[in-house]
Amino acid sequence: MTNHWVDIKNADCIMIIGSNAAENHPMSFRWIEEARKPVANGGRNAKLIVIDPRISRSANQADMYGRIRSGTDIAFIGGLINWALTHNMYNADYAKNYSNLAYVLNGFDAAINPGPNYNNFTGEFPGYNSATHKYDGAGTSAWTYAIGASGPTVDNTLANTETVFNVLKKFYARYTSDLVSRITGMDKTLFEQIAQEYCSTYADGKSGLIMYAMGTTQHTYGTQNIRAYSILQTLLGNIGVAGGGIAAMRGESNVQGSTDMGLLFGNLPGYLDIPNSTMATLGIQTTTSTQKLTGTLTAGTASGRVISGLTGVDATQVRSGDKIQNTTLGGTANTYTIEAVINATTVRITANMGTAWTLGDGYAITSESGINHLTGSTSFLGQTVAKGVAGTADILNTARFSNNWKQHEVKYMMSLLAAWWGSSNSFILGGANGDFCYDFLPKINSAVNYSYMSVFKQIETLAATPSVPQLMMCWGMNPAVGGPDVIHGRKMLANLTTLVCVDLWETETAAFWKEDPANPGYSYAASGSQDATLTPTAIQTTVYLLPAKASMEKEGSVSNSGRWVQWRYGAEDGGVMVQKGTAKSDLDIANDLMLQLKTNYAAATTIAGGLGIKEMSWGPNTPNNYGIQFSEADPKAVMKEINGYTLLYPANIGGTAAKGNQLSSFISDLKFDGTTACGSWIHCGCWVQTDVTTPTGTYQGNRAAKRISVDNSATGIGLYSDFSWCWPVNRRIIYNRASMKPVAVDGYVPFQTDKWVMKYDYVTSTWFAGSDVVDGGANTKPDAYMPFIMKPEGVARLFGLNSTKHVDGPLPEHYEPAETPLATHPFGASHVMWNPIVMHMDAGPVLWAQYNFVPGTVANYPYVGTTYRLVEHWQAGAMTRNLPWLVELQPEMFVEMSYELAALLAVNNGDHVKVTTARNPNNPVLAVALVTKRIKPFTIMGNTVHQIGMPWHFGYRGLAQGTSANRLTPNIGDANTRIPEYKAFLCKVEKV
Amino acid sequence: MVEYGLLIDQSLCMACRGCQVSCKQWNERQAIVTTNVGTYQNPQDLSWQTWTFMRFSEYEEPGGKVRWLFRRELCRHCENPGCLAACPVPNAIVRDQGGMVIVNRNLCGDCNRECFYGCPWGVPRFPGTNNEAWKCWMCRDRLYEGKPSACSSACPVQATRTLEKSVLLATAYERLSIVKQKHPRANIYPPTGYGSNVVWILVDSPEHYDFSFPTTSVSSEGAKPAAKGFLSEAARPMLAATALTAGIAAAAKFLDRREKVARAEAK
Repeated sequence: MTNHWVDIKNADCIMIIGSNAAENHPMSFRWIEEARKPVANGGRNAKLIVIDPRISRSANQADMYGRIRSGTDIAFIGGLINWALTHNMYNADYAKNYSNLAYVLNGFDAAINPGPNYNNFTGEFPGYNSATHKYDGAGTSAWTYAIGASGPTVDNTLANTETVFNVLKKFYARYTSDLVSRITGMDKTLFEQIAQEYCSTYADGKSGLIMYAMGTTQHTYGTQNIRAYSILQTLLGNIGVAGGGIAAMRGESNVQGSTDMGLLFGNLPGYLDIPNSTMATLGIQTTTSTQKLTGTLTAGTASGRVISGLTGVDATQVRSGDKIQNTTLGGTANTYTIEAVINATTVRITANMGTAWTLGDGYAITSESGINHLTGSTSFLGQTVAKGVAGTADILNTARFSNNWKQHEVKYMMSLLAAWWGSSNSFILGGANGDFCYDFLPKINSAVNYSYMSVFKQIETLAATPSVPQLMMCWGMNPAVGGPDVIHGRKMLANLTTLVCVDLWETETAAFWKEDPANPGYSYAASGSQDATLTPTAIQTTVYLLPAKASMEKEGSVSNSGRWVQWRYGAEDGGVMVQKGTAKSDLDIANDLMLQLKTNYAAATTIAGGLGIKEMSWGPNTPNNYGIQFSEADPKAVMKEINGYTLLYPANIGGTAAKGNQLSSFISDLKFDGTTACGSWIHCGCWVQTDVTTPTGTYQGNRAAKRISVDNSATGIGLYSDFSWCWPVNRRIIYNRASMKPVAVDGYVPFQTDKWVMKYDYVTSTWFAGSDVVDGGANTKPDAYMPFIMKPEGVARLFGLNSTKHVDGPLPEHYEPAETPLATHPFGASHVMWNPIVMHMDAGPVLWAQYNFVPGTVANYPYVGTTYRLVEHWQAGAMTRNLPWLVELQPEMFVEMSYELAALLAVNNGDHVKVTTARNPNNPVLAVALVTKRIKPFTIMGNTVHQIGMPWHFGYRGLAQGTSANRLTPNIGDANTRIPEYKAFLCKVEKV
Repeated sequence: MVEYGLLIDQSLCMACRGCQVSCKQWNERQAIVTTNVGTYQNPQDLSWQTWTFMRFSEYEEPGGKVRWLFRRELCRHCENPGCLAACPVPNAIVRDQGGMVIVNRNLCGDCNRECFYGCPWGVPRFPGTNNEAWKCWMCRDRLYEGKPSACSSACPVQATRTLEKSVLLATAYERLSIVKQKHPRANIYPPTGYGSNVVWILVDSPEHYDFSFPTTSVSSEGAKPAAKGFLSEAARPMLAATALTAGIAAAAKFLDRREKVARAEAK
């Protein structure tokens, strides 16, 4: 979430789309209902709009409920963008100043389709390469800004046809109310009412909030769905303000924390990109500094001479690769490289330094003058990005700029390496190439995708060579219920050599061979039949089930969707931590595993042989020179490391000289030179050196443990800055500089006067008390930096520039789900049906056949299906299908359908039906038919389309058993994230 | 002890049923085995293990707008409880000064389940093996500790609130005026004057809600089929208001029986 849960109460209009918040985030409704109260009762009389294929428990609460066919979010939002632009309902002050609305593009308009509109746009953006199915062609050069002498060209008159404004306007002009209605199935009048209501939040003083979850992401264009929300919110001026933003509601209590800490396959902690195999070195540039030092140079002139008795610097802080420079000879400065550090006062140098050379000169240390290659390049738009380096031409920074925090990635990476290997000899000596153990960091293969579906495909492929052992650890994960095309996925588990499941209960995954094919959805009885391909005697997989502690049984932090890091304590009984059986916390299990690995690799001498494991700063017996002896099984110690601390480096190279002091802010404290360790830069500041006051007294610096329930905002917007701690730097509403309206030079005022987030006192040159934490420092003026702090240009990108990290086109376009009920794309037969990065019929027949995906046809599978969660159950069900009180509430698998479809199928409410797709023609989902008025048939492009929906919680273990809905779901997913398209597929329903 | 009541605002309720689970947790009720019969509603009825549950019904307005209507079922803690009036055992059912109608477990059971028949909604229920009545007691233990009922405490949107009886109706009407802005047909149920310590705000007319009277589960508990099933919901609050009279009659009947027993024993 850009904002946080409490902030929902400040909204004037709330749109829930791709989410069933009432069921999956019930607490959100406490704040939604606060916003909906009449003004006289302390609320904002906010309107609640819910967009969903059926009347869910959320939609039932809505003031306006708009139903759309699964998978048509972009058509709907595109219609809203069009409405805002054509009805002049966008916040021009905001969009011109804080987005790239007025930026001039580099020929995009000309390239996409010259003329008054883009009606002939095929859905493939300029630069699409039909051979690679990627946007890697020359045409992508149009996806960027036109660069003038002083940076990107900006046309605030918006007259230039190449401005983002005009491109956006033409692009979404195609999304007329009529067409939106025909694609989505929403009534046209209702659509226009909703558009008018939501777009009315463009006005100064108003804010609108979009809340989304998995209904948005689980599509082949899921990333583009979110992009569409971002564009709409930016146009309406809804980002960075109270009651605005985009609420990405996380599906588990600590998914936010998991992704913050690098759970996803492409991330290291703090959303640093994981390096790939082409990035062999860290690539830090060096520059010279002059620190005085003295010592004795040993005799001789050959390479390998030693300087001993060093003073003026702690030699342990000199690392191989550092330079010593001779400046006393009066002539040319000679620079020599330090080859190795022998001890605290002795270094060995590599070159002949000359007998006359005396110490007392300077040595050079690594510095930040270059951007490491992890960011992709040293430049942005051909200009060097690094700010603050003398002599650097930086066009973006001279005109308008942000802090562009991404540019400091090298600091974050170096500090991460220091956290992981900082106590090792390798790190002290600077590591190979002066890369500080970067070579220990596992790299991903740039040619391999590591997403869920790819991993399962790899298991299948590698099964052909059983000599390669395969280990899978399912840690709080149940792919035998939760994965797409789950029958196939479950069989893949039998190809593993070893499967380790860590969970509270025996999951279906831990018992992947136990579903009874004669009684699907249930475990087989001892005498029952078995699946021929999953006969226990034929399976060679060794399966371990490690019992894990539940959240109440352990201490640690949980990060909620609002980025609040909240410390929790384990439940105690009589002063003793509650302990059931031999269950261990995840941290203890990880610790045991790592310590055993360190034992196994104790003699390693090479990286391939496990040197990185041997040298990792983990556990009590590491050769720690810094006095920081963490037992990693202590969650407090882990949290301290995540926050970061100083390593034992002296002040003269930028350290604080203190040993092991906790850092307080990534902005001021993190260093590029290996003097700071930090497990996750975005969390720097969560556990500081100074004590923290909590209601129960003064507490060691753990800010996440703070529980002061005081709203410190000036306008009652509910900042609660001393309740827990949130990243970054306890900023509760990110991009909050954008809440200030530029009315004149030195005259910024809040867009919203009655619920301002930030307000600046020009008399005292400080932000008023009760403001949120601003980017760039408390005494910076509103216009000191641009608000969108992760982009060099500092503005939100309505138009997405070409990027190696984002594989889709620059603007969200409506594509059909991989399985669509339509024969041609609604924009015409010349428009591609699907997201061209994901799926195409020209590659004989489908590129994603690599994931065993073969689409079903509407002739065989005429109905649109979707899956969802219920409030009564949780994810793959192990946590709830074993709890009698919850099983009582939702005991059985069911399918929701309209009365119209039920009549067509001659099904009565409560009958048993079977559901099939192209994945499972012979292994149907068996379910109770729940016939309801809450679902109605759609009219899509003139034809009737029936939609059904069902929960995906069920499996064949636990108290409540049933067939998993993921028997139906396709193994094809989003172009960027590869999350499967669980939310839209074609299916068939038959009465049993 | 101040007298308390519950206000259940169904306009806020999302039917998450945290109330159902928290009730079972706090009062140590066991789950019962259920099946899906084509509705989210489960269990289908009150029982000695289920003191409250959410009723689900669907209503399509003439204009085509579909509403999913939720109403939580539980004991109403009447000012003049029919169950109490019907109970033949002195003090087996009492109305506490805190407003809750409670079963005295030490005395209850020596009867023919008159309380069930005395209650217009058939709230008290019995295990199959004896005549001990079980029902909601408005978390008397919690209220005496100054805590809200378990169902109030669990509700994420404060749809159920534990309020002092003195402000219960005033709060309900204040809230109703707000609810009516969105739901013109919203109403207070039961209507004023029927002496219920549990008050609902319904978003639509009671006729569109599920007020079905228990039949199956009571008979499966060994009781006689309910005789009052034919009563319309509009008639039942009336019955509640007159329950005292009816209860006196019932009590008189059983007093008569007890006297007979006493006389027989005296012989």
